[in-house]
Amino acid sequence: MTTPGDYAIIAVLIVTAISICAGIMVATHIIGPKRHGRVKDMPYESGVDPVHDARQRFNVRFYLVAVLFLVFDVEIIFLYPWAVLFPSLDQPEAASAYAGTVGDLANLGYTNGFFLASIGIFFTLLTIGFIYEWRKGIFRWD
Amino acid sequence: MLAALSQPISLTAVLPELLLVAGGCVAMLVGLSNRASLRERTPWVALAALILGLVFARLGTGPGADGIIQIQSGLAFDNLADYVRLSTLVLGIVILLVAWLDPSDDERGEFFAMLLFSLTGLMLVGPAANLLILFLAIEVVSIPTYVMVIISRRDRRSIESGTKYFYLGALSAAMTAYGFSFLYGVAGSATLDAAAIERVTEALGSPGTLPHALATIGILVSITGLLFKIAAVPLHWYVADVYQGASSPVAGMLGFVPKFAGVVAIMKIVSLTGWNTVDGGLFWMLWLAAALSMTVGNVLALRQNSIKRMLAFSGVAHAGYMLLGIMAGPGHDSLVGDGTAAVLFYVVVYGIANLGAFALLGLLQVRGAPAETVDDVTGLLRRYPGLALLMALSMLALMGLPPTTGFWGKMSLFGSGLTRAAQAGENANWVIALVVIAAVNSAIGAAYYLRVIAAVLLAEKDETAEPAPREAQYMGAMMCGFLTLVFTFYPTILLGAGFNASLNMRDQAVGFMASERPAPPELADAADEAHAEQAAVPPF
Repeated sequence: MTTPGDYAIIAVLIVTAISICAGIMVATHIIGPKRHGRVKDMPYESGVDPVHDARQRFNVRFYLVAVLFLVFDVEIIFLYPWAVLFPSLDQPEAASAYAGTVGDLANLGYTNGFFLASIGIFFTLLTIGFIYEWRKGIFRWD
Repeated sequence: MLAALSQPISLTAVLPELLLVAGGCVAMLVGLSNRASLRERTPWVALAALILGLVFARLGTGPGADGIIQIQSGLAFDNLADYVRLSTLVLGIVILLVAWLDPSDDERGEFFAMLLFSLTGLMLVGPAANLLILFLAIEVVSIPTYVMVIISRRDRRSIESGTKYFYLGALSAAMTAYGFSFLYGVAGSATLDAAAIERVTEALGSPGTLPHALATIGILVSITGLLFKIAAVPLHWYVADVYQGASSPVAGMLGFVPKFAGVVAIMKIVSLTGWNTVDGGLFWMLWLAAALSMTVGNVLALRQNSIKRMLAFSGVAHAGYMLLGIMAGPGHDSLVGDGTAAVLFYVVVYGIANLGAFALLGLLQVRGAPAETVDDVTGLLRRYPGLALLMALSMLALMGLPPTTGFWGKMSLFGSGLTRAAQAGENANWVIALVVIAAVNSAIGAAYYLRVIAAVLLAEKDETAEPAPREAQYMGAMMCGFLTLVFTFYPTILLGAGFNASLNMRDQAVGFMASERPAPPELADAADEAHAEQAAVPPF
């Protein structure tokens, strides 16, 4: 059972993060030297001189790559909590101690086979999506 | 959460849905094959999945047979779920036949996969017993239809209409989700069970309090979002452009799949109020949406020359008739007084007739392009009498001419409205007024349907449209005509099924109508009553 006090540590983290960001920004603004010039005011593009406006048409392939990246990113994010919980799902007693859905499922008598099958279905669907992308030639750049 | 999981998840319960998803995945991969002969088999994969799904849905134990809702992780397999799943699968097969040769060669896989995914979503709307599952199911219905609209034709117009449909659909989904969040807050759980109904009705029964305001907002906002799915006023503007931009088979599908999902979802949300639909904000909202949908839809349809746009606006009018039935709600234990049974019947027979009309439009070619205007189908009777009669049958059913399916549907809808008026208290006259508006609108609607029928059957033209050599599409059109004929002569088959399907909704309404309702009916009695009804109504 969680109590509001358990979230105090998250509040500390948020406050620390915000104050460090704000502190650094304020500090550079106050103590940093300010020199203006053509080169100094140029946007920083990893050391490359910007050649023209960034607002222009770009190839739709970048969009496809971004979507592809998102899909696999979500997959990994989904996999982490599953991988952390899975060893304990081997022992029903341990699993039933978890709060929420996993504990409920374990209490209902689901074994780790069920959880393995669940992730298997998830991976099969992703793999079919992957094969689809491959056959559609999304990985071919030119 | 535990309540939602009180029954173990049984994957066999959702076996038909799983088969459809698996079929969709296989179809997607088959459609990408290097061999053209294999790619042509894609619709067969989809057909196999649908037939297997139908077999397993039929063989399934049907846990709702005893009328007890078993909530299995957000799904309740009651009679309503049975009705939705079976009619989805049967009409899914017809839609598949109609769309058999529709997609271009390199997009078959996506097209049929999306069709199967959309049907899967519809099959999950039926048993959905949780706001989250309901929302997800509606989205599974909608998102594939956006893709299908875009890839159904190689045309800028289809892209335009698909994009429009997508953005407006996203807007309506956001509204639905926003309304659901209020309902979740009021009910205290996302599960749509007796406890949730009790809490929502309690909140609605105490005007002037915060829960009352929240529950009212939740109900109204979520239903407003769902009005988009059934294309009712005020969210009906997309419908003509989308139907016109999509190919005819896809437009025919849009008249059934999202509408059915929307109607069932609205029923589930209205259930939360204990079917107290005849006073307060819900009454006026349903009243206005129904009256405006009928009138606006019919008046706009009158002005269209394109049959696709005409059918689209007539779909708005039909959504209005359905809203009348939803307002009537589950009535007494007789067939004619039951608004939910009437709506469930009407949405299916409307879907069949509408799909039949669109199937024929897709089949007929005028100089290589699909027929679209009234002029295109003029004088069809002399060259192709069979097709002309099928077109006339679909139009007559949509018009609601006795004794077609449309007439039985409208009769039960209007009858349920009048039955409900008796319980409506001070709003009784308004309910009767709505039935009168609906009757007047049926007469207005007859004008534009008769224009098409007259053009097809009576007018003469030298150069008529030619049917494309597409056997599957022929078969789909004929199946639509066959089903319309079956339900014309035996409407009680489907009406009785709809009546059984609304069993749980009658139970949910029992608290509100306790004084008027005798002991809960046995299922066998309901079937008997269906027969008694058939005997009581003179067939012609």
